[in-house]
Amino acid sequence: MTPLLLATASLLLAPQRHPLHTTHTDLRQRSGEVEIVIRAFTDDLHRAVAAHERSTDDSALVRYVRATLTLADAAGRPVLLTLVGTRIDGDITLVTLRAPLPGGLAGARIRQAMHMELFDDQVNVLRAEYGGRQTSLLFTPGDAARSLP
Amino acid sequence: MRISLLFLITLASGTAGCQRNVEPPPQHTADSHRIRDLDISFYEARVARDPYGARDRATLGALYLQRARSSGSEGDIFRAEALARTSLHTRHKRNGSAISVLISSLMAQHRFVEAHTLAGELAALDSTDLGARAMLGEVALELGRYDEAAHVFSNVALSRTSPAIAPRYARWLELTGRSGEARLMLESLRDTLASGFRVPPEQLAWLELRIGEMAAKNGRPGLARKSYSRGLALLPDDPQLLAASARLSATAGAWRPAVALAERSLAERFDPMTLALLADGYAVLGDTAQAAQYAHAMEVAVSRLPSGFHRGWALFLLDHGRRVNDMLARATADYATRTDVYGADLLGWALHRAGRDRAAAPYAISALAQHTRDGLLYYHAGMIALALGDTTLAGARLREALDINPRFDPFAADTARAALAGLPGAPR
Repeated sequence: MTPLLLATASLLLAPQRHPLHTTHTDLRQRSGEVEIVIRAFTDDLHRAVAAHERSTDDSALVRYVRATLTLADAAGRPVLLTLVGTRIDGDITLVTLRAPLPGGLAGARIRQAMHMELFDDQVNVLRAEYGGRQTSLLFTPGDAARSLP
Repeated sequence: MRISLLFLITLASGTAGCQRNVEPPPQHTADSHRIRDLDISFYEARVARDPYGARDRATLGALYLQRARSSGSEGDIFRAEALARTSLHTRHKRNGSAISVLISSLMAQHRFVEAHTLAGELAALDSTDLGARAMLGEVALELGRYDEAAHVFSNVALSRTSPAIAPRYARWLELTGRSGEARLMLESLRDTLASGFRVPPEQLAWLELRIGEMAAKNGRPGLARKSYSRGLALLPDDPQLLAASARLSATAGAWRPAVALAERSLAERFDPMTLALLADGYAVLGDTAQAAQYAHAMEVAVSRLPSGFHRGWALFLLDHGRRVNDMLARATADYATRTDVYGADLLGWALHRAGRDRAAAPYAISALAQHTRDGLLYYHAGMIALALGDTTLAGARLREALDINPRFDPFAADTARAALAGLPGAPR
């Protein structure tokens, strides 16, 4: 068989790839609660949860996420994150959570520190949609919680 | 048996879409990703069942590489490399597919020297396989071995319009100062593929991206915008097309749309270059807190690069006076194996930013040796000449940069104009 035009794969790919450590988190306000969707590389997530919890089931996952992704309302009261489900999409795992937040996201304090115990070049991107606006926050190792405007 | 290259492209992409239109509905992207993932599951199961399946391993490796392009996953690239190596261990002869996967995965990790050795072996396996030769030429270009690349590409010239060769041939033309010819070649390929059967939208969108990039680099923003728009009609959330559109808006000074597009790109895929663009964008828009946040995140993201060194990231850090000595060391190490024009340009610029202009000058000359039509190369050479007090050479280089593209960079083009205005004899 001809070299399967796998050649094309290199063309589409060649000078692009570098090892990057990142997660992406979307927050959307839905009436009195917030929906949170985290996208993380499955390899990294699995490693992080296993190191933190010594197991990788859903309970371990949610404990890990609660320990590393923290959300507090505008008055500073911590908000409990509840796991809705997980889905694997290719080599990415999507983790969906929900949190009660009657006061909405404006003024809420958040910190996204997933995988930072593993990688000192971790950058977590967080995007929040609320009240007709969109805002982005970036978290790197050592960052404290920040308020959404 | 020689199989139609077009068919092979489709096969390699693992899609079963049957859209003929240039602008298929976005659903096809989701479909092709879903089908690709089904293909991956299918081949993973086959590989698990058959410890000796060399071809299945090569195919699965190719699918992982394809997925890596959209997700940016390094894990998929490493998996592809491992599968290709296992495949070759199982069957070394008549296993060009596995060698191709291995070469591609090595290139993705910037292990160009290893890739070059293998590409030579692959081309030697079958002297009639022009795609393999073009792949060798592609790796030679990355290493700055232009004589070898010229030899390889002149040998495949008669087949240069075939889908396996045209993108690589066009890259050679582009790097050697014939970007107009390169763009026309890719446009022709795009038109051929667009009327083909079962051509995945990713292939067409990638061609639109390349055509747009060439047009943008050569001062044709309208044409670039059109190409990017066509690409985005195929893949509305493609992060590379969104980022390219953002850069185009930025060079036109339209920073609000640039930031919006870059944010959309970042939502799809994390790329430090997008962080860099956002840092600049927020700074121009006066949001210094956001600008600092993005610049810092970019610096953190690229602080460890065990298997790669991205020149664009290095240029951003150098231009912002961040980690200059570190970037100089990395550029020097990079140039030890990759003596291509962009490697020379980066090393020259790093030396300039470190205040070592006399050492930078030879690299600026090397960067222009292939007559590559890229305004940034001429700008860097001009600023180095200016720092050395050679105002005649500086004037010539800076004018050339602006002739190639009056908006070759959102900031450097204005700096070039200001520098030209300050030269002796400049109109007041």
